[in-house]
Amino acid sequence: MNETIEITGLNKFYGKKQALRDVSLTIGQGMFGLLGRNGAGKTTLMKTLATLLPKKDGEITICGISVEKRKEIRRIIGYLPQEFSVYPSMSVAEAMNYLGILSGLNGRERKERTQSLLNRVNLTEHSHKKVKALSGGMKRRLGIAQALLNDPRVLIVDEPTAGLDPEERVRFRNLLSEVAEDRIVLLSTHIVGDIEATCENVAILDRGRVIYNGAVEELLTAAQGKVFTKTVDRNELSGLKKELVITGMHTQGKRACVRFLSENHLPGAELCEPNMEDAYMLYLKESGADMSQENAGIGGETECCI
Amino acid sequence: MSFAVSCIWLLLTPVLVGTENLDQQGAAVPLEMFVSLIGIILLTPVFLPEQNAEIHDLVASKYVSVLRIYLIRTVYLAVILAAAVGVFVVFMGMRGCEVNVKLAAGTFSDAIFLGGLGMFASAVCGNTVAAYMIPIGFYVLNYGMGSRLGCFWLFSMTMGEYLSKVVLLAAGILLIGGSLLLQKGRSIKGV
Amino acid sequence: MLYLKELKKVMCSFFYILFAGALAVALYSQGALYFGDSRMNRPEPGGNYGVVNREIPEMIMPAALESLWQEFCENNYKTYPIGFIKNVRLDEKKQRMVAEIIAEITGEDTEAILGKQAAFEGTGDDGYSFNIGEELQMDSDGNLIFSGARDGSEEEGKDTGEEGLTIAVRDDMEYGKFAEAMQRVDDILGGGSDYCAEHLKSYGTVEVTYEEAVQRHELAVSRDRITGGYARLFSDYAVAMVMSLLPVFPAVILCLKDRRARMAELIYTREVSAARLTVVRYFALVTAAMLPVLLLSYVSNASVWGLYSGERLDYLAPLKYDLGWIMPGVMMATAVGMFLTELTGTPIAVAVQGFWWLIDINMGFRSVESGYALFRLAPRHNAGEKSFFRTQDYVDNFQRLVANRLLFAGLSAVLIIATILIYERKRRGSLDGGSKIKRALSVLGNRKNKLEG
Repeated sequence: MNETIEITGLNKFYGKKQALRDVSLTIGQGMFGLLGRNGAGKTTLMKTLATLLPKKDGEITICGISVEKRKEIRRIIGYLPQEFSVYPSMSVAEAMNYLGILSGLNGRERKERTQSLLNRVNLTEHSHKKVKALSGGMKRRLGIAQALLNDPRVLIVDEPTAGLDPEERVRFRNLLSEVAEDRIVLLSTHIVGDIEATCENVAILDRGRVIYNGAVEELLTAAQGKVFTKTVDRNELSGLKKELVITGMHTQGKRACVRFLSENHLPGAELCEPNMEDAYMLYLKESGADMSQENAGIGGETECCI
Repeated sequence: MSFAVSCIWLLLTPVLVGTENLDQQGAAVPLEMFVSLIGIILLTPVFLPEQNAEIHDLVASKYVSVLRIYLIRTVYLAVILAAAVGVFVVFMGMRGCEVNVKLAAGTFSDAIFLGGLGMFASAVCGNTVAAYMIPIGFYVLNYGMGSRLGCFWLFSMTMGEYLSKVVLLAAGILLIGGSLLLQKGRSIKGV
Repeated sequence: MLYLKELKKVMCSFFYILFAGALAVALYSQGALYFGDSRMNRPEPGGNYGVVNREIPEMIMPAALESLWQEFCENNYKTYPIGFIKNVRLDEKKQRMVAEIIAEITGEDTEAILGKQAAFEGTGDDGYSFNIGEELQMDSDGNLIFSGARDGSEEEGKDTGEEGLTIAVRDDMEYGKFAEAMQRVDDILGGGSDYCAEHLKSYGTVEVTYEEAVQRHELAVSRDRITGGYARLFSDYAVAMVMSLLPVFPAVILCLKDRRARMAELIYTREVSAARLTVVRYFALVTAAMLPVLLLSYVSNASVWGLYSGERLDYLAPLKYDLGWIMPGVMMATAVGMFLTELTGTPIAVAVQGFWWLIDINMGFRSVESGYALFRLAPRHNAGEKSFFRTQDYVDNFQRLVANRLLFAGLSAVLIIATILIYERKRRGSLDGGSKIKRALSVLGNRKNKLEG
């Protein structure tokens, strides 16, 4: 059985603005990460795959089915949108039941799958609660449960961990990893840690273009020998920011320990092991992205969001 | 969108009904039965933006109270309403109708009452679309019940009766005040 | 199952309680929920059986001519294009056209007629005489009656001043030609006057005779089986007052619910087809709107069952009228609500349906015939007292009613098909619910900000 998503030469315009440029990807079974800044085109790509946006140029097939055959595609995909919401006055169980009907499941299937999925996401004891009474983390878990109702071959998850606390985030990532054992899970995020923790392969989008497509390991390997730390006076920071890409910073009184990318070993700097964020920033830099906003936002956070 | 719909409605009124050479009671027909409806169109959606929970939370967390914002909005919409009624009355006067300040004031009172009903309903049910049903439903009642509604009959000026407009204006102001207080209460409860 | 879910979404809400309450209050205010004090009694000889409009040329022609002459002299014609009075003033050219028609009817000279009108405008004296025929009388209330009784007012109104012009219908004037001439006047006025073919009959008012009253009563018993007449009156109130308007609200609210809950995309990616979802929602909305009506129609009708014990009543009459008379109106309002809401993503359907209702209800007031017109959103059968036993009017206009109701059912089906197409396009991202318009409007509002960058 063909269990891949094939995207070839995909272009997408919003008026004059080109949101996707000549995107070509092959995504196989397991977790696949889609990384990029805000406005890179991740959500546009996800929505196109989920049949929510029309395809103009290029070819897309999901498990051998052209994306133009919408009804068939909707039968095999599960979608968790970036802003997930359900009718607030419905209970968790009612919402699952309603969405199950819309997914074409019969009564027995709905009952069985609802029970098993709510169990899997630890929402069984909240099944009678109204959706508006759920916390953010519970809502996201409900989101993943409803996306799995029709046992999809492809799960499309758009920024699922944004706004979750660290514990919830870890739980969610683990759940996705379990789910990815026997299907394609396409995870779009700007949180690098999620990709590092769960994905084997990743594509990086920047301004609508795929600038990297390959294994996470390879991305990390490419950053070897190019990540350094150095302790400097705080008044040197502004100068450093102009010259270097800084991926982390800890201030200690009048001194600051900065983590930065460099082709050369600078005097006083120590070489260190690259993490995913370093690798991502390096790749953006080498592909010619504007890094000034990245530097402006650095202050100890490990997220690469703008 | 409310402004656009109100303008279209005012422009359509002379096309649909006579606004030429009418005596005082005849002139009351387009004013009470058509022009006053812009009260519903303008005032009912006063609370609409903050019925989105995120917007409400953002606005309610600021120094300026939400109540003051609603009050400012209500006042300027009432001023626009008065101006629109005034302009239409002058327009009718220019077309040979026997119009006067009493007719204008009476129409404004109708509009305030209908708009107040809409605002109050919006504050109670938290849904502007549902809220439109109340003043529209009351307007429909006026067709059937007529003078049986007593002081609350919207079309009394067509029969030469003006005193009830004072009651309508007062009731409208009370409804508006009540709706503002109700919305403030919902804000505090975080609803 | 989906139908039950959608029905539950509509009915299990605070708004639906408001809707049902508003419906009940509106019908109660019209007195439509209780007819227990309106027993239809067999007419007794020597009573007053009301009046009726009849096409009696000898009565209609002089009365209509008198009204036309009056308005012509004043150059102030009353029309009712949408039920509300509209005074029309004609220019010289059109006044001449009316003068020519008057000349045609009276046999007088057009120039003389125009001269008299000009003189009237100067002096206010119309200087005309009006002839009433021998058989035509005016009663104490000023109504022209064709009854054969004379009250000595034959010469009344006759002004034989030195320069008087006799305005009277020519002896050889045929009624058909007269009506055609009057229709031309109506066309000149832009329509809606009492001179149009539909309303000319209103100049011929006669008392209903005892025999006619008995015949009318027997028709109500045999054809309507009594309860049919009451059901018909209830339907008139229901569809005119509320059911051609209120159902737009639940339709708009349901269609906006997905957007409001921000789960539209979640539903778009589901397997369910746009057709199935839209049609099921439509049927759920129509069902929800009709349920309280069905209940109230029986409450209303049952209020008279006790009055006619022993008679053969039609207990299914409310159901027939609910489905045949009221439901197409509900279908139309619901379809308009769904269509415009899906198209624009706004509640503009409320304004559109409200506007349509306002125009329609006022146009329907004027007569029974106009109440059954093909494009009447709310067919009327309530132009007079004791409408519940005006069975003959109903029978006479039954075909028109059927055509009207089928038309609206058909139109609503067309709108639902359009809604399905719009929903599917939105689902594919090809149509974004009027956001292009909104964006254009917001650009106008934000011009300054845009310039400042």
